[in-house]
Amino acid sequence: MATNEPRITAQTLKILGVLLSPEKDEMSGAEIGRSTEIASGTLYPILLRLESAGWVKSEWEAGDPRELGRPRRRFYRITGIGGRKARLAFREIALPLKEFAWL
Amino acid sequence: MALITGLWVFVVGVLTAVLAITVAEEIGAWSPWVVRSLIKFAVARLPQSQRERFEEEWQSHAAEVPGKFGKLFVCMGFVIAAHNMALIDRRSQVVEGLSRNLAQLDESHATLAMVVDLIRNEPTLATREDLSSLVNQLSSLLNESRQLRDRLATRLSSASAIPQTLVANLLYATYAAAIRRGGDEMSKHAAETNSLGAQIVTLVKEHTKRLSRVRSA
Repeated sequence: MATNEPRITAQTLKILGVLLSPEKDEMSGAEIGRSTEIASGTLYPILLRLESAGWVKSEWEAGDPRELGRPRRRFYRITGIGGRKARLAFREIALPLKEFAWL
Repeated sequence: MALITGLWVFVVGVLTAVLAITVAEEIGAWSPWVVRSLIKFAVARLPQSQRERFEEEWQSHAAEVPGKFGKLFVCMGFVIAAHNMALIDRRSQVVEGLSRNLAQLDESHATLAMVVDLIRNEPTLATREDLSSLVNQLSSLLNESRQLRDRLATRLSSASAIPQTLVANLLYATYAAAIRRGGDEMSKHAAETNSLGAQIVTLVKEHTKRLSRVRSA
């Protein structure tokens, strides 16, 4: 039957990699797009799928848009399960490459 | 002659530069309106529950992008994203709805199959010709219904395995139509089995009443 697990594509891995980075706990969609160089047309469907699967969660930045003088940003952060799944996916890709360690 | 040609080239050059600056200024002036309109257009493609969130989120994203052309490019991306997100949502609604229907059908099949067994195993009921004929019809309908249900479940499973890319989601629409037709067929079958089931229940109730009157007499 239907599975809620997102398909692991190169772009999904890029996004997960950026969110796993220790430099920042959370990032806005624009920041993720800049870091991964993924266009907005591809970025948001992936983020939504990751969020539906529970791998990523998002929340609005604190503050009123009127006080901030701009629209609020929505920040994304990776969840515990998302982190585990991402590391597993990276490991699965890295394992076959170890055979070519001599390269 | 060369001087006149040179003068013309200079004048055309200046006019072109002035036109380019004017066009750029116009684009610059219209850009915020175009950005807002593109975002509204994109958000209108989304399911109702997502519109408010993504309108604000995408306004904020566009605000973070430097340059007017950068903002326009990003907003065109939002339109593509919204189309894909709407397809994903429609797809998961079809899958969830049908999964729920299949679960309800399984429950109804189990109950009706139990009724058939009970009647066949009850000596006073099993001998009644009118009841026996209805029970046989119901049993045959249940078998057909189970086969239909299994075919639909297989179709649903194959459809769910289709990858979630924009092109695949567009092609999914064909599969979704086939699944919906299967669902309609199942509903017709379910209506027939329920109707037969109701007739059987009425007959059993009458029989039980008559039996209890005879016993009390």
